Amino acid sequence: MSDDPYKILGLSKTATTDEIKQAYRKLVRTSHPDLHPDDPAADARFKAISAAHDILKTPETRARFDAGEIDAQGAERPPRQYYRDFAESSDNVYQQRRGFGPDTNPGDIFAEILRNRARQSGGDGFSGGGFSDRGFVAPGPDSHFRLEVPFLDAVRGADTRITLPDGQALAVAIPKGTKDGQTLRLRGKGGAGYGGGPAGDALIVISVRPHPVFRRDGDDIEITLPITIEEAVLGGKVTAPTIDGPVGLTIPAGASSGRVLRLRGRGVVRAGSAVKGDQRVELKIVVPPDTDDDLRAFLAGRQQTHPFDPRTDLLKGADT
Amino acid sequence: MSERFTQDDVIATITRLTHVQLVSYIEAAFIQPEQSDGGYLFRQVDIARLELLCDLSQDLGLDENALGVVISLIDQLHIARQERAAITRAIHTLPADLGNRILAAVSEL
Repeated sequence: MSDDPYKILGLSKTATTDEIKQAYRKLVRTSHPDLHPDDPAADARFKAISAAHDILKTPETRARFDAGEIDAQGAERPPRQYYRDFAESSDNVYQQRRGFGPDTNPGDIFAEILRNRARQSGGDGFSGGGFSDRGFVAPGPDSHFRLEVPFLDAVRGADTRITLPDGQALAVAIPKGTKDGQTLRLRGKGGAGYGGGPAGDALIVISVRPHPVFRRDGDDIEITLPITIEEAVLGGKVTAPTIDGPVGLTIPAGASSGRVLRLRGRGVVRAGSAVKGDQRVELKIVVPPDTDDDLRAFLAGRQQTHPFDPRTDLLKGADT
Repeated sequence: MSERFTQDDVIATITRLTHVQLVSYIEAAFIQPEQSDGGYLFRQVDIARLELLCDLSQDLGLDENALGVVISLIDQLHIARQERAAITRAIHTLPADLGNRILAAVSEL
C-alpha cells in the first residue's frame, strides 16, 4: 500500500479538514475489522487508514508532514486486538445470548425451542410475540450480567446480590457447586414484557475467584499440605483444611512429597446431584527454616551408614 | 483464569476514553464488566469492545442511540457466524454423502 497518507485516504493535497474527516469516515465504514469480520484484509487496510488519518487529522501534524518534517511512518500504530478476535472465543459473554453450554438444563433448551416455534407461528399471545385481540404482546428481553464470586461461595452456595445498571439490586442465589463460567438463569428477572407479555430472564455468567488454598478439579477439591520431615518418616495425625472446615488426617509412615491422600466425600456437592466429590491432599515435605546442628550431624551420620539414591530409576529411565 | 483490569486500568489503557463515557456505556449495558467487592473488573474482550465503541462514537460520530443499534447488530452478526460455524462443523462430522447432499440442498435454495 502507498505510504502517502493523502493517497491512502484518496485525497488531494488541497483537501479541507472536512473532506479529510469525510474520507476517513467512509473508509472506516468499509474497512474497520469489527464491521467486516469475514474480511481478513480489513486489518491491514484499517491500520494504514488510521495511520494516515493520525497525520492529517490535526492541522499541526499535517503541516509538518507537508513540510517534510515527519514521514508517513511517524504515526505508526501499535498492533491492536480487535473485538472480532474475541468473538469466536467460547467465554465471550456478549455472544451467550442463545448458545447452550454444557451446564444447560435440557428443560431450558426445550423451552427455548417452544418459545421460538410460538414466535414463528405468529404467537399465541403468551409464550411468543405477536398481535392478539389485546394488541401487540411480546415477552421482555433477557438481560445479561456477569458476577465474580469467591471460591468458597461458589462451592458451598451463597446468597448475594448484583447491582443493576439502574441502581436497583437483584438477589441472586448461587447454587452449591457452581462452576467457573456457568450461567445462572433467573426467570422473569429480565426486561419487562410488552402488552402484558411475560418478563424476560436475567442471565448471570459466574466467574469464580481463585482461592489461595483450595483448587477445584471437577467435583474434587485439591490442596497441597505441608508436613514436617518427622511426620513424613514416622506418620501421624495432622489437621487439614477442607471447604467445610478443618478435619483430622492420618499421614501414613514413610510418606514422600507428591503422595496424594484422599478425603472421601469432602469435595464439592453439586446442587441437584447425589454425587459427592473428594478432597485430594498432596503432601509436601517442608524442611524447618533453621536446621540445627543436631539434625545436620544426625543426617550426615545416616548418609554414611544407610546409602539411598531415589534417582536410580530416574537416571536409568532417562537413557532409554 | 484470564487477566482482569480495574476501571482505572481501562482508562489508562484506552487514552481516549473518559470515566464518564465508560460509566455511560455500562449503564447502557453496551459493556458488561464483572462485579466484585472492589468495583468493576474488565476482561481483554471488554477492552477490545470499548476500543470499538470509541471508534464508532468518536471516529464515525455515532450518538448513543446509533451506537446501541450498531453494537447490537454486531453481536447478532457474531452469533449468526458462530451458529453457521457450528452447523458447518456438524455437517463435516456426518458421512460424506449425507454432508454433500446437505450442501447441495443449501446451494439450491
